[in-house]
Amino acid sequence: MFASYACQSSEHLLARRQFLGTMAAGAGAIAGGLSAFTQPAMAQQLAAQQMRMIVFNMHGGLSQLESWDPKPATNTGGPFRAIATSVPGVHISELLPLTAKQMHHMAIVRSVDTTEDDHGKGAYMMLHGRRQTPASDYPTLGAVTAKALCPEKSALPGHVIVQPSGGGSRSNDASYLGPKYASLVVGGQPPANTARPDGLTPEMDQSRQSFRKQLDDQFFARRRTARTEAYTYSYEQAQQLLAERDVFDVTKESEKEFERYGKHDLGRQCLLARRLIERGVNFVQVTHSNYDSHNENFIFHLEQLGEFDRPFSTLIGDLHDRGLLKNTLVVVLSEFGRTPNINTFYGRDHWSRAWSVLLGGAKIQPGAVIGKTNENGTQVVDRKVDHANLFHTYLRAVGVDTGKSFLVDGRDLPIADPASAGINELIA
Amino acid sequence: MMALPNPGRFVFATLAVLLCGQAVVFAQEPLFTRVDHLMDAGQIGPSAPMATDAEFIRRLSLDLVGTIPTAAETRAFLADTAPNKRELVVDRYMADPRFALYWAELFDVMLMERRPDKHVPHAEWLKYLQTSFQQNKPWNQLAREILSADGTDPVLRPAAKFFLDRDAEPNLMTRDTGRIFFGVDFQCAQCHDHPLIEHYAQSDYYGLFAFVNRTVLFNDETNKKMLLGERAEGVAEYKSVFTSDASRTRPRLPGGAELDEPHFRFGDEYVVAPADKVRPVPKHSRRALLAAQATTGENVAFNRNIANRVWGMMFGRGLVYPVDMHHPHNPATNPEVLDLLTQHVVESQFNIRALVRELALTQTYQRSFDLPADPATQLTAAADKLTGLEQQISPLTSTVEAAKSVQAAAYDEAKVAQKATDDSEKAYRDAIQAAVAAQKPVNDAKAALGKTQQAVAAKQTAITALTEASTKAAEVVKAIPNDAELTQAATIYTNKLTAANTELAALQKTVTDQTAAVDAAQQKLTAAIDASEAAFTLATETAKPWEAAKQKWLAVRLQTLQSESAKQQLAMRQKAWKQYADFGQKRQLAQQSEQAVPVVQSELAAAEQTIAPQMAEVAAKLAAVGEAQKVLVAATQAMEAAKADLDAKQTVANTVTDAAGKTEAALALIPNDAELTAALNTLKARKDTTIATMKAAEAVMATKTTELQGANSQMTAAQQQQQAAEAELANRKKAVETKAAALAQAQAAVVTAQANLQSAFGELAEAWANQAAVRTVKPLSPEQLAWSLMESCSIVDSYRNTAEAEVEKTVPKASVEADPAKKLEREFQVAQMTREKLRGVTNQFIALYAAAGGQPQDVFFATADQALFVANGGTVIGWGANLANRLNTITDVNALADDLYHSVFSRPATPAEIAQLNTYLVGRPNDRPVALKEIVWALLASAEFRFNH
Repeated sequence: MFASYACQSSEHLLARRQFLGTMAAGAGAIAGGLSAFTQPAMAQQLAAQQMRMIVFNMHGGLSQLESWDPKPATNTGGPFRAIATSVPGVHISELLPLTAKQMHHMAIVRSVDTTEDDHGKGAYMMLHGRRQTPASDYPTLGAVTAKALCPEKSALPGHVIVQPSGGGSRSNDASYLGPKYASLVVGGQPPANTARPDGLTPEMDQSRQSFRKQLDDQFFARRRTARTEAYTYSYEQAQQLLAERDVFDVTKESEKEFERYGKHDLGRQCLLARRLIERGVNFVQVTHSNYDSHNENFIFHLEQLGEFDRPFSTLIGDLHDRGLLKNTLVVVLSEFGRTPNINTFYGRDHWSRAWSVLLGGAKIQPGAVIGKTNENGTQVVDRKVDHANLFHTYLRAVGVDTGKSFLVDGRDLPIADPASAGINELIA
Repeated sequence: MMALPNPGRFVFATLAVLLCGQAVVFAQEPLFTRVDHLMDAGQIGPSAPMATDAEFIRRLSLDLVGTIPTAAETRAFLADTAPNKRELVVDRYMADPRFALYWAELFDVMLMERRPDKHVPHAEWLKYLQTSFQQNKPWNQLAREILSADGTDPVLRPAAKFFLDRDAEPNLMTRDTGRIFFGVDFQCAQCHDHPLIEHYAQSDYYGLFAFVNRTVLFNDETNKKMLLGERAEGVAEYKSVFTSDASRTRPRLPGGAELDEPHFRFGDEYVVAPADKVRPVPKHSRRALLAAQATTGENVAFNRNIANRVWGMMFGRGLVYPVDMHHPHNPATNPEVLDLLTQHVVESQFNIRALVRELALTQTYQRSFDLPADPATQLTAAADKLTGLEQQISPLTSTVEAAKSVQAAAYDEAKVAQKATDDSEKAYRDAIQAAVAAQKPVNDAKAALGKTQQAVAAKQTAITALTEASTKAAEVVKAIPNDAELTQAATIYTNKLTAANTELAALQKTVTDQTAAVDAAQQKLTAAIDASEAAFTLATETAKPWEAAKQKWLAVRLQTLQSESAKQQLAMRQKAWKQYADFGQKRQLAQQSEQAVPVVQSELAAAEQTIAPQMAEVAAKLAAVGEAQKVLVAATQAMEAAKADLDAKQTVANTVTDAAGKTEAALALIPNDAELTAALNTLKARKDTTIATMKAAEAVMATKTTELQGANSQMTAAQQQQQAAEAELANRKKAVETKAAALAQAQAAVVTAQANLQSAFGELAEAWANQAAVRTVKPLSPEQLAWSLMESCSIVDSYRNTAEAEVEKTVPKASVEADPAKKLEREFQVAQMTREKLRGVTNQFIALYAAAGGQPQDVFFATADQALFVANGGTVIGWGANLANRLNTITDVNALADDLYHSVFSRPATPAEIAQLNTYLVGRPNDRPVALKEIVWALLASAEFRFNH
């Protein structure tokens, strides 16, 4: 029985193949052949649009009630007020006064229901767009974004996670897309091996590299393949990365910028995120810890969001001023929200049934508010969405057709959960 | 190609006929020759030439022992003049202890896909595989051990890693068992029939799932080990999320039928029944069934999978690719070869070593990495082939369609039949539930009885003591009468005894009652079990039509698969021939466009040649106009002179005539005046003369006028001729321009046609590589890369020496000299230990060069991270320095190049390469050691080194 629900029209298949053929320019993709490697039409088109994404992962579970969906003067609302924003009629928590002034660039989804109250599982769902299953591991949002957007010839990594310090190594989060799209973790340290070792002068390096090229040219005179091409090209990329390693060095930013962003970890991380995005990195993830406020939720959020508000709003403003926001999606997500109920320790607990995600830039409708929770925020009353809908939405906002598949070494792998779809009305 | 009991034979028979008898196999020939015959018969276009000896030994060494040959090995092989030296070196490498060690790693990667360790340490697992390959354990035995091991037997515990390290998660076990042992990735058919692969059905997934869904992970807390247990219950039920089609299945192998299983009464299913902290062991193990059924040699999917995977390991790409995507729409590039190898695998009792040897000896394996010199040699055959294939395919299309509709009908019948089982199936399940429910009262009653029996025992102990005490007390009272206290005490004992006996009687009554209760509950349970048995019998009976319908469906599905396979195999050939023919056309177009150029060029030259004469013609005509002009001017002047002369002569004549008239008038007035008369006579005479003169001038005038008219016409004519000549010149110039444009167009057409041809040739080369007609460019695995780098820089030796010294402590070399078997075993130990010592190094390469753990490991990717590691990391630079230092001691550049190229590229350097090396070194007289490091690095980082070609 051939599954009739899958569209098998020749037109559909052809379009899909064309797309795959070009997508195939990625790592595994070498199977796509030499032409796919040398003429990645789709990748070029996407590169011309320079689409990028920044994700803020509010680790631990940001309270929607102290941020994007305040319910002041209700039994669940807590002590903080709601304030007007730059979008008439849209209010957010008073803990985010500077962000409130940038809300005309952003949109809020207030109807997220992921039905998963476990930190690990919730985070997996939000960052992979699917529920974790034992039999299949999926690539993260960053890996998918990099695979879809990062030009084949880019020297810079397409997927970077900014942490407060250390870093320099690759994670293992790209699953079947291959390590090329795994996140490079940076935190002040440039990536491994991007400096010449002691005793190797630039002239010596140049000399050995050109001898290597001579050898390769002689070898390629016999036969060229996509694989040999990709291999020799990786050395060009390495040389470029070596030349551009300052991209990862946030200390090259001016004192004034550090002051604007705030002289703390998150401020530096945001400034580095800006630097990376400006230089053409496709995906940057910043983690802000920790929002898991089972005790003293209000003091917790007062402090955490107090730290978050300034660098975040500065970043949005800068991206806009520099003309980057129209090509850069910014997302603020968590593994889940926090309970409307306030517990005996003045805390809020894990809550995935009615919470919010903030996003803006790229193709996101500015100023939009999607969905609605009831009076005291205990349930979604309009336009319920889940992690998979959001995952599709993020990618569509940066121009990726999430109905397509990646072709990795002869295997068709859907870009996002084929059983789900994006939030159409949010895409401009 | 699941679901074919042996479609191979069918397909093979068909194609053997189709291939014009070329494919007829001669059984007496060795397998490798038969493979080559079939490859030749199936070949589309020319094959690559044979690889050179140097290329061959490097390839063979990498594929058999996982690293490049040493410079010494290469030199010896190149110098060897034995005609069968390739066969000899194959056997030498296969006898090398490194063969088992390397192939154990290949199978580790295949089976575990570099998953992080969980419950069985990698070292133990690897040792198990190493020993297995050392003993040349048949693959079906290895598979049987892996699929059936539960982790309890210390010897086979490592084999349980396959399932244990997947946490015995049923879906993961199903996916990976299907992929790795049967070559079918059913993952996308878990929740519905596969959306993209027509022949992967949800029922296939659950057929496999049913073998493993009862397996559970068991924590043996006493021995601190995870083990596999198995339950006796658990139905593989499924429902499509798309169509809501629901069903259930017993275990079924890919391509097989649903298996019959023994039935046990409720309560009688276990060897060890499940309980708290007890590992359940059923009487009938489905996992054992899987291990047994898969490995008999009867399951084609299992047999074909290993043949294809071993081919893939040797050739860099499976005949079916991806290796876990066997289905009719993804046929083998040469189905007959895969069928032959599959058959061989079974006949050789799954002897991997034998298969590897045969493959290494094929010409196909020994093909060069260079493309065929003349790609066009078989183009003339393409048209006929295509026509032939088309004729074979079109009837198959209707066969396939017919089979599909028969299959669909059979499916619907099976659904109806299934529906008819719903009630009896439900009744059976209810009956089992009732038995489960009835089991509880039995357990409770037994527990209560047990408790009472304990109380009875306690009471009896007390009564025995009391009886004794009471007797003694009576004796004391007898001995010391009238002691009130003693009498009272004795009475107490007596009373207590009486009371205890009463209580005992009550307890015994309770025991009787409770025993009765147990019996009653047991009877109810037995009744419930009997009922469940009856329900089972009824359900089984009721299900018979469904079983038959399912069997029928499976049988017709097999036919669909067979006809589809046959069709798709031909379609694949057709596609390949079409691609080749298209290449031929593009080649012809390119040739034609090239041939068109000189034609247009000569036309242009001819046109250009007509310009000069015409320009001369124009010049001549212009000169003629000049001449005519001159004539015209002269004629005009002559005519004007004649006119002036005529005018003068007319004036004279008129004057004389006038004078004569006037003289005559005067004579009339003066008649006869002699003088007047004389004058008149003179005048009259003169008048005649002058008139005659005038007439003569008039005649001259007329002549000159005619001449002028003549000159005028001449002039006009000359001018016309000149214009005509100029017009012709313009025409000819235009013709030159047209031809020049045509030439430019023809030249552009050549460029386009060449580009098209180039791209078609690139695709063709890729297709040839995929068909094994030319050697695939096979990237070194992370382990091969690490080992080859170390081998080329002589890094391995010191580790080998350390290992040797360590082994020497327990097994002195001298002690085994006399015993070849022991000697071999010792060599194996040394090699094993060497490999173990370098595990850390290879792991470093795995981290950078391998796909993520748990993902398919046959992908290639080149990243900047890898290049940076090679370029700037200490590891490779350090190794390179080791070789560079040795080279620095060699002064003669020829000797130096010889050492370098044999060490790194496993071949001699060409004169051009020696010159190149010399140039590099001559330019660096002051820092030769540094220059040598650069050179070594460049060779190690080159594409020639990175790939197995």
